[in-house]
Amino acid sequence: MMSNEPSPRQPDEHARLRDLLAGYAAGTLPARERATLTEHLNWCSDCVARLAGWRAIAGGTRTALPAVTPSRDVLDGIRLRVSPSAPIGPSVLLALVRAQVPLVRPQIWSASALVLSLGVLVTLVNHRGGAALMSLVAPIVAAAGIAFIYGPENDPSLELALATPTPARLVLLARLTIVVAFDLGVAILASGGVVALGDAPDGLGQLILQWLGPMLLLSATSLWLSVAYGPLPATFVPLTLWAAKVGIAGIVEPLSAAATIATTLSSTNAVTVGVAALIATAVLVQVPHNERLA
Amino acid sequence: MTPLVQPAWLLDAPVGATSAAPVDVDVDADTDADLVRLMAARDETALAALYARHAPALLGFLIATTGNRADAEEVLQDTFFAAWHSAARFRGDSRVRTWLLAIARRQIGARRRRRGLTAAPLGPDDDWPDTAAGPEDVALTRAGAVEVAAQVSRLSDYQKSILSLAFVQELSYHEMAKVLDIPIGTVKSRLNSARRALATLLTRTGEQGG
Repeated sequence: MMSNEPSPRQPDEHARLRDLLAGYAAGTLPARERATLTEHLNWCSDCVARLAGWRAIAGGTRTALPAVTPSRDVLDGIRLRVSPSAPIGPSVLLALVRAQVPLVRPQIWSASALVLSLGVLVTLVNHRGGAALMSLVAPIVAAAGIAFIYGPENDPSLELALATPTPARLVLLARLTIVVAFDLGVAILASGGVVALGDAPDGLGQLILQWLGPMLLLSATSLWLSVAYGPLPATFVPLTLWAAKVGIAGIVEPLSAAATIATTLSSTNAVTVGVAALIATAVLVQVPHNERLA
Repeated sequence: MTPLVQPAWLLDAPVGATSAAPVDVDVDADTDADLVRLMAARDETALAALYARHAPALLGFLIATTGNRADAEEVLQDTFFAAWHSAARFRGDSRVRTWLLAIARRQIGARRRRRGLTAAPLGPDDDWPDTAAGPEDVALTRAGAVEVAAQVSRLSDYQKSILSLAFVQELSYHEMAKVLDIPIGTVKSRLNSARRALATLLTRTGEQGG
């Protein structure tokens, strides 16, 4: 028969066993203590009531605080930290690129999209001029965006990013990939719009070739200046070069050396693409040794 | 031993895995302790297997303790990174789960220190003796499972953490004391504190509802 009061001879034992009820409800008591408590529960109604409360808590806790499957990024992050020299798979690179998206200045997206859409708008309103505008603005808009993707002036979290085992050049490469891919995508869409409106008689391919080479070259130049000197030189130097190119085309003899250089650098050819690739590669190699960034 | 059978990091923790979930990792290690020994020898497959076995349960504890998933996942990463580096010092005196939870608790403390927080990370050591059963226990036993779970979610992070250790991680009092680095008496006191707080919440809810 149960009693509400423990035996006078066993108050300390009752208190000791009462303190074990949570473990009893969890099923974690050693066998000997569990057996002692089971016997105690045969007569102690106080502990029986209390045990019911602990069992309710155990069930509620298991429901409220369950095991949770971590996101894949956690495993990838551990992998990078324990073996930074290990080959990095596509999923790691994808996760890295995805992680950089929120760290790129949002103005880069809107400014690029807005300016590159101007070509379509001009064609819509004026019925001509859109293709020429695309060729003129696409390279410099992309370069201006690249000027702001990396460096302490552009990213308050850079200090933290550089403290992680993720190589600095991988972070830069990821951001470069995002912004260049975005600019290319928007520029191709805008060019498609201009062609659809009948403003590019030579077709989409020719229109893209008019801006692609200069875009890559100016973007690479901007990347180098941004990493080496900061975003302002990286914005104004390509802008000045591009303006000079436009000016030169109007004032020098068509067959002069200056005109030849300007023409070569303002179209898509092996020189523009090759020089752009060389500059970008040199920057990526140099980044870990850059005092401003490393 | 021939532990390496496939690229270590191609292995995912199974979706919805719990501590008891089977691990799809073919390593020559039957026990967690074997995996830790392999990990001490820089076997990444063993690390992946250990992660698959314990990460979901650890993350549950860390979410309860930190209050949000983003912080919890960062601490989880820190925990396995620290385990990787301290695997050689694992002596097998405790279960691997307990060892990992202790590392996780230290990582939470380190993280709080980095953020300039000096308060005790897992709550005060108030003396909360267990008292005779009363109306609060009646509220506990009368409440439905859903209601109790809802009120557990409203407890403080340190109260949730002790309940998680007791009923989800299913640690003994001795193991909880080891993880939290506090005396066993304090473990019991904290459990009583959480029980009292939970009963109070349920009583208030009952009064408001009734």
